[in-house]
Amino acid sequence: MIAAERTIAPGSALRTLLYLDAHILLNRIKTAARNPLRLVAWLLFLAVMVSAIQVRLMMNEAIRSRPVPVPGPGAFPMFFDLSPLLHVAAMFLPGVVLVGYGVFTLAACRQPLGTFRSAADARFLCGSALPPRLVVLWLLVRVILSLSWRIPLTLIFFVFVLPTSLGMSASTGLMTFAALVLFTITVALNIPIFISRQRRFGPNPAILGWLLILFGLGSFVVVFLTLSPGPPSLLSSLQPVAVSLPPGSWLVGAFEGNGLALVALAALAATSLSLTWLVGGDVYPELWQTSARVIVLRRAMRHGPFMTRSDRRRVLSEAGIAEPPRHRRQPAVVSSRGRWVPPGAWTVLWKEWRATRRVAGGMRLPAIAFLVAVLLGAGIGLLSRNGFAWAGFLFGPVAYAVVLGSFFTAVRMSGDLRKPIWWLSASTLRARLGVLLLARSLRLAIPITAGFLTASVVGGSVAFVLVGVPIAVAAVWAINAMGLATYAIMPGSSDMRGPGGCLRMIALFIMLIPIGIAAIIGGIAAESGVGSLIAAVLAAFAEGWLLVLFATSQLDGNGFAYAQAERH
Amino acid sequence: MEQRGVPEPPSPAAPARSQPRPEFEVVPRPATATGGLTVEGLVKRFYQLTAVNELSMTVRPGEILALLGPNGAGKTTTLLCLAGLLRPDAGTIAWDGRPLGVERTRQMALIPETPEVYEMLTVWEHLVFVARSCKVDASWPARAERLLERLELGDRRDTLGDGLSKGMRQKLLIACAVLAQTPVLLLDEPMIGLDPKGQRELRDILVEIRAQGGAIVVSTHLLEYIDTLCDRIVILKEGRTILTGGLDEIRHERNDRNLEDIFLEVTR
Repeated sequence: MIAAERTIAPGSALRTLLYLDAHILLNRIKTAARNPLRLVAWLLFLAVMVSAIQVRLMMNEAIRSRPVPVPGPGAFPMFFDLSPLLHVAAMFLPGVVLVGYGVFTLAACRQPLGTFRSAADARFLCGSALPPRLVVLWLLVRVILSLSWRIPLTLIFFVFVLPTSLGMSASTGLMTFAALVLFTITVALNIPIFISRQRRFGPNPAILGWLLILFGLGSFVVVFLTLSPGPPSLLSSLQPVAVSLPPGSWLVGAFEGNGLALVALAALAATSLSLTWLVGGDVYPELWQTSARVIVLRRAMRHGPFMTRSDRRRVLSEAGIAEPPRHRRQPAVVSSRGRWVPPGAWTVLWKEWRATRRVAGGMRLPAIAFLVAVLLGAGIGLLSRNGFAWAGFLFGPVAYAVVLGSFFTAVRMSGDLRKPIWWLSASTLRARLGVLLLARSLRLAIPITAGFLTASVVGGSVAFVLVGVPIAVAAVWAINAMGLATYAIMPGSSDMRGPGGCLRMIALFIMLIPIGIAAIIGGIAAESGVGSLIAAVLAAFAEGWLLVLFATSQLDGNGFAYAQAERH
Repeated sequence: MEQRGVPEPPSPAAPARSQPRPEFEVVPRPATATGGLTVEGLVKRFYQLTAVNELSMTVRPGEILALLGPNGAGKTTTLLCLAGLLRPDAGTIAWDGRPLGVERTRQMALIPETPEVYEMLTVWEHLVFVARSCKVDASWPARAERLLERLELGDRRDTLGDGLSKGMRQKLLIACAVLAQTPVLLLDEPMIGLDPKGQRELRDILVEIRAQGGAIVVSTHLLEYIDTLCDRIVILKEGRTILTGGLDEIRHERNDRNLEDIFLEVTR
């Protein structure tokens, strides 16, 4: 049997690839549809999205029908006239895009994209008789689609949100969207660049990369000087060239409704795909090597997103992908045998602490959060001491960012629920979940407390601690509890972002009602703000605990099913 | 007969080792395949580490070759190079005397140690995909059905890959590889995760493929399995071939000692 006989015609091969991805998608939908609760959540999410678009359309209509655009800030940020700012940003865009392309080219010289989604993907596709060029192109299309997973959101933003703010037409929005999609396709250049560098044919792409960065920075500097006050310099005369450097200028052109710019971007995208087709006949091993690295690192990063270079190297060498470190380090982990370990459910707190310290880069995020909080606290404390009475209000946006951050942090528990040792514990599941929640809340609560303490010490006012700490800690606790309760309803990882976020948002609003009522009652009863504060904080803690009880009722006796469901 | 990098002819006693079950036809083998798989001077480096160093071997049609060696000897790397998932730094891989380039991926089916399947494809959909993507002849559904029955996956046709145990995934990959009808079958620790019946079935299938002219390379640590199945062995250590030859021949030259003793002695 010779290879030529086994090669499949492109049409048939394309149908086979479509069969693969269509069935994967179909089975994913079927799996999701088996749980009606998930369907309800998805429907709710879609309803929220559709209503948001509806509102946007109405606002767009209202802005268009206003007689004269109001210059300067309006009553509401949506009605700001952003056009001048946008014009300035558009002038910088060609330079930024060129620098981006330069960095992209240098990265592509080192390794190609990790195009295979899994080991199975690599083995089934590489071992098939499908034409390798077509497979490589197909893999790239997948990458482009996954890079553009926000395409629907981008579409909403450019067709509904941005036009609403700028009074643009929907057709211009669509044009901008198309330009962005075409621009994304140029990521396909990654493989030709890598192959050209690896096999040493054509000009050295690394030099091209540096040139692109140089041109990009040059354009950036010229535009900056042009916009700076003062007499025009020689460099300023280069401004027309600096703002017309492609492909950034084509993006700007498409945004301005220039059809030719869109054609140029389409030509660039087509060239990228053609070059990939040309070199894609023999690149499976390189694609697989990068994909294997990506798959292994992605798996490792589930336990801690911040990895050092040596962490990465260790993980890769353990998976047999990279060379092991020449000088093996002493094991970083030392058994804590003989040390005191808290009893009962509190062991979970100890375990979380140990895990945080031991996972790759585990202490980095808490340390950074702690440092940022202390610096912010010191800054606000200084301002407060120097008579800026409003300094305390600066905590507002910071607290909002913290709340928003934890709001989007979905709870994942399969790491614990899968392990028999979790279920061997003599303490109740309720107690363990409570302690787990406490442990996860402490990750944010400690830096926040440190920030308030610093502000209090530097500013010489205990108000920061007495007011800020209880509110922030109660909020972090309640939001984490909400994440746990959402997990108990929808453990599927694919639900976490869309309907999961939507559910958490609705739950947050519902949770605020009793807290608000408690604050009012506390305030009236104590006839002071302190009473209101105490009542609100207590209500938040109580609500969090009720959510723990709810999660316990769902997870008890069904943990492994949750761990399984989390994977979908 | 300790030597490095010299391809050995197949042992004449090998085909008589185990007979296939006559009632089951696995795959029709191509009649033209006479030269088999030849590997010459294969080298694969990872940075400073040479994982495979000047490996040479031949697997003829109708032969099972065992790739043995301690952990880190370079067995899996060799198989990945053969399967086209790693690019060798040097050396040639030829089929029937013709050097293979990228098309070697279509000549060899690899069953890896970790049985990775598509989590969101059912068992039957895997087979459909393999049949379509490997240009298998039109009679494949009947063969696929028989394979599933034989590997006790008949009642799992509509189970998603995600719902299969490790052993079942292994069986599914075996079914896919057999269905693909590639002239060469590469197996990396194939017995790990299989139940006794599955192991028995796999052994029978391999024997049948061998009888029909298939060339098989098995990498394993299970020496007793090798003893009753394989025709020839290649023992690797730190990427180098330290012993190669016909199994019976090697044993005979070493005073009929068992394979385990021989292995421990040469890899010491």
